[in-house]
Amino acid sequence: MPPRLLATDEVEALFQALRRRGPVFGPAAGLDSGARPPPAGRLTPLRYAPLERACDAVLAPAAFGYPAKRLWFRPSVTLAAARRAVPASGPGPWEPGPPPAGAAPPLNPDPARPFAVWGVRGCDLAALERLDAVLMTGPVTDPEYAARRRAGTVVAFTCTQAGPACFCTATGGSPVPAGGCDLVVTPLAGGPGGNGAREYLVEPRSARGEALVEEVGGRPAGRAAVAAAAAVIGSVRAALPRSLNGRLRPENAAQKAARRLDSPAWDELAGRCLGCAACSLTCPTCPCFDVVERVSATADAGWRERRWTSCLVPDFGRLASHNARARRENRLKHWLLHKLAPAEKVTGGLTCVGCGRCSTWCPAGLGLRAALESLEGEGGLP
Amino acid sequence: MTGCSGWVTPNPYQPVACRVVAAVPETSDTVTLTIAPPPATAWRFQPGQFNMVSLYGVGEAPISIASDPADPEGLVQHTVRAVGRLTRPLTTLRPGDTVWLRGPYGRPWPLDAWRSRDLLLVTGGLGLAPVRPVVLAAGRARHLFGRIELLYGARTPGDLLYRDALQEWARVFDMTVRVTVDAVPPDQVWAGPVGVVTRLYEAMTSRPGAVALACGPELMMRFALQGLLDRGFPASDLYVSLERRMECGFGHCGRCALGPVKVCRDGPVFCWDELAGRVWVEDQPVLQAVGGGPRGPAAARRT
Ligand SMILES: Cc1cc2nc3c(=O)[nH]c(=O)nc-3n(C[C@H](O)[C@H](O)[C@H](O)COP(=O)(O)OP(=O)(O)OC[C@H]3O[C@@H](n4cnc5c(N)ncnc54)[C@H](O)[C@@H]3O)c2cc1C
Ligand code: SF4
Ligand code: FES
Repeated sequence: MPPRLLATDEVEALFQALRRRGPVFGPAAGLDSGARPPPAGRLTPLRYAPLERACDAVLAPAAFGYPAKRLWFRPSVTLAAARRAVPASGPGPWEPGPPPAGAAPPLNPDPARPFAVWGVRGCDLAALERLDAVLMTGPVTDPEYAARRRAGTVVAFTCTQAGPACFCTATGGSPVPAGGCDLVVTPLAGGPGGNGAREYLVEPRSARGEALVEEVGGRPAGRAAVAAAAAVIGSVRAALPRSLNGRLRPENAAQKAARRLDSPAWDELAGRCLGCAACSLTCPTCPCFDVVERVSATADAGWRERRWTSCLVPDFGRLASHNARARRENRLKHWLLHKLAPAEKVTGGLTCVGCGRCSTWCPAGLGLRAALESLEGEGGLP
Repeated sequence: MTGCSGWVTPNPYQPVACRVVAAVPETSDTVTLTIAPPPATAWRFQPGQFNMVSLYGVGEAPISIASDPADPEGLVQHTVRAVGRLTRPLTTLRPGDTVWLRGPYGRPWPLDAWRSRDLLLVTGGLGLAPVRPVVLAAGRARHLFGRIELLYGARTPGDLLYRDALQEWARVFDMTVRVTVDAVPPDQVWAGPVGVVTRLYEAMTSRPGAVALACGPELMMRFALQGLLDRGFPASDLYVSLERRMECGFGHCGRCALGPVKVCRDGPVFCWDELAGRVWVEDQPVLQAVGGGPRGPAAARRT
C-alpha cells in the first residue's frame, strides 16, 4: 500500500481504532501511582503508559524516556512454580502449581491479548530486532516474549528532531524506523513544533497496518507530501553524528576497541562507574537476566522469577569457585565490547542502537560514547 | 544445533519432577545420583550435554550428565560436588526423593566426527563426569574408534571418582587408563603415580593424529592443552568443555557469555581452534595464556 496522508483528527481516529482492539501504550510524563517524586530539579524518565488520546503521547527524543522493551520483555516474570502441603508432621513433596498472589505474573499469562505501542522511535525498533535475535532465534524461543511480539501492534514515529544525546546514524541506524513494525508515521513540518504537525505521512509495513489505515481513510500522499517528509528527515539526519567518535564506524568499532583493552583509560572509567546498572536498565537492547529462587514465608510455595540484571553489577560473573569479573574495569570492557558487536551475529550494525539513554541517565556522567571518548583521549583509538 | 532435544514443553523453564533411584557417595563431598525421569518423557541426550537441576525453594544449577546415553532404562546420572546452596542439599538426597530436571542443553562432544580416530581423554577432578558418557558410548561402539587412552588426575586418592569403574573400563573396553594424584595424605595409600595430570604425558602412548579432549579445572586444562600443542597436536584436534555461570541454559540470560560466545548454547564443548582469537574479558585469563587460543586484556593479568 502506498503511503497515505492523515490529518490530525484522522491520526486520533487511528489511535482510537487501536484502542478498540486493546490498550495502547505510549511515552508519558508523570510517575506511577505511589512512586516517590524525584528530588527538586531532577527529571524522571518518560515511561510507556496506557494512553487515552494520541495527543497525550510525549514524542520527545528516545533518551528522555525508558525503553519500549519492557512492553515485550517484562522486567520480572515467574518462570515456574510449585506448592506443597506443610502439615505439622513436616512438609510434603513439591507439586507444580500456580505462583502465590503477589508473585510476578507467570510466564506468558495471556499470549493472545492484543495491545499497541504508539510513538516507538527508530532506535527502539532496531533494539527490538536485537532482542528478537537473542530471545527468538536460538534453539529455544522465549514463549512470553514471542507471544507479546505477535500480539503487539507497533506504530513507530519518524524523529523530527535530533536529541542532544542521539547518535543512531553512527550505529548503522536511522531516524526513520526500519522494518519490524506495523505503521511508520512521519509528522510533516508546518504545525507549531515537531509534535504539532497538522499532517502525517503514514506508511503501512504489515497487513495489520494496512487494515488500520483502511479503517481510518486519509488520502493518498502526493509528491509534495513525500517531499515534505524527506525534508524533515534530511534536516534530522544533518543534525546527527556520522561516526561514534572520530573515526569509529559501525564496521570497525568492535575490533578497534578490542585493541584498546590494555589502555589505562579503563582504570579511570572504572574509578567513576558506580556499578549501579542504570545504563542497562535504560538500555533498549540489554537482554540479560537473573533467575531468582523465591519461597513463601510459610514454605508452602516456591517459584522462580526472571529479573533484569546487568553485566555491570558485581555478582554478574560469580561462580562457585570465583568471580569471573570482580574488577569493575573488566565489567566495563565486557559491556562495551558487547554493545559494539552485532547482537548474536545476526543483526547488522552494532548491538548499540544509539539512543543515548546510557549517557543521559548515568549518575556518573559515563555512557557508551563517554567511554569511547576516554579511550580516544588516551592516545587515540588505533 | 543440538540443544533441547529432550522434553519439549511450551515453557522452556518448566522442570520435570524426577525420582532419585540411587545415591552413591564417590568421595567425601561428591555423590552420584541416579535419576528416573517420568516414563512419558522421551529422554535422549548426547555425551557432553548438561541438565539444569533444581530443588524448589533452593535453586537451580547446570550439572553435566554423567551416564550412559544408551541406558536401557533411560536413567540419568549426575555426579554432584557439594559447593553451595543447591549442591549441598543435592548430595544429601536419598532414593525416593524428588529432584527437578530440565534439559538436556548444550553442544555435545562430536563423537561422530571422531570415528576411526584414536582418542586421548585428559581429565581432572570433577571433569571426569562429563567424559564418562564418552567412555561408555565409545566403549560400547569400540570398533568405531582406534586406540583409547584416558588420563585422569585427582587431588588425592580419596578424591578419585568412579574408582571401581576405572579398572573395569580398561579391561572391558580395551582402553588404557592412567591415573595420578597430586598428593597422598598420610592416612591414605596409593601405589600409582603422584603428580599433576600432565606428568602422565611422559608415559602416554597417544601421539599427534589422535583426537584429544581436556576437561577439568581451567588451570588444569591450560596446562593440558599447552602440553598437547607442544607435542604437536594441532588445535583442530583439541577439544575442551568450559564451565561458566548459567541461569537459563539456552542462550538467553547472557550470564555465560564469553565475548560473542555463549557457553551454554555454543558450548560447553568447543574445539580449541574455534576459540582462537576470540576476545573475552575476565579477571583471570587462564586459557588466554595458551598459544593460539582466545585473547583478552593483558591488564587483567596483573591480578
Ligand atoms: C556446563 C556445566 C556443567 C557442570 N557440571 C557439574 C557437575 O557435573 N557436577 C557438579 O558438581 N557441578 C557441575 N557444575 C558446576 C555447578 O553448576 C556449580 O557448582 C553450581 O552452580 C553451584 O551451585 P550452588 O547453588 O550449590 O552454589 P551457590 O550457593 O549458588 O553458589 C556458590 C557460588 O556459585 C555461584 N553460582 C550460582 N549459580 C551458579 C550457576 N548456575 N553456575 C555457576 N555458578 C553459580 C553463586 O553466585 C555463588 O557464588 C557445572 C557447571 C556448568 C556450567
Ligand atoms: S556506567 Fe553509569 S549508569 Fe552504568 S553502571 Fe556505571 S555508573 Fe551506573
Ligand atoms: S546460561 Fe543463559 S545465556 Fe548461557
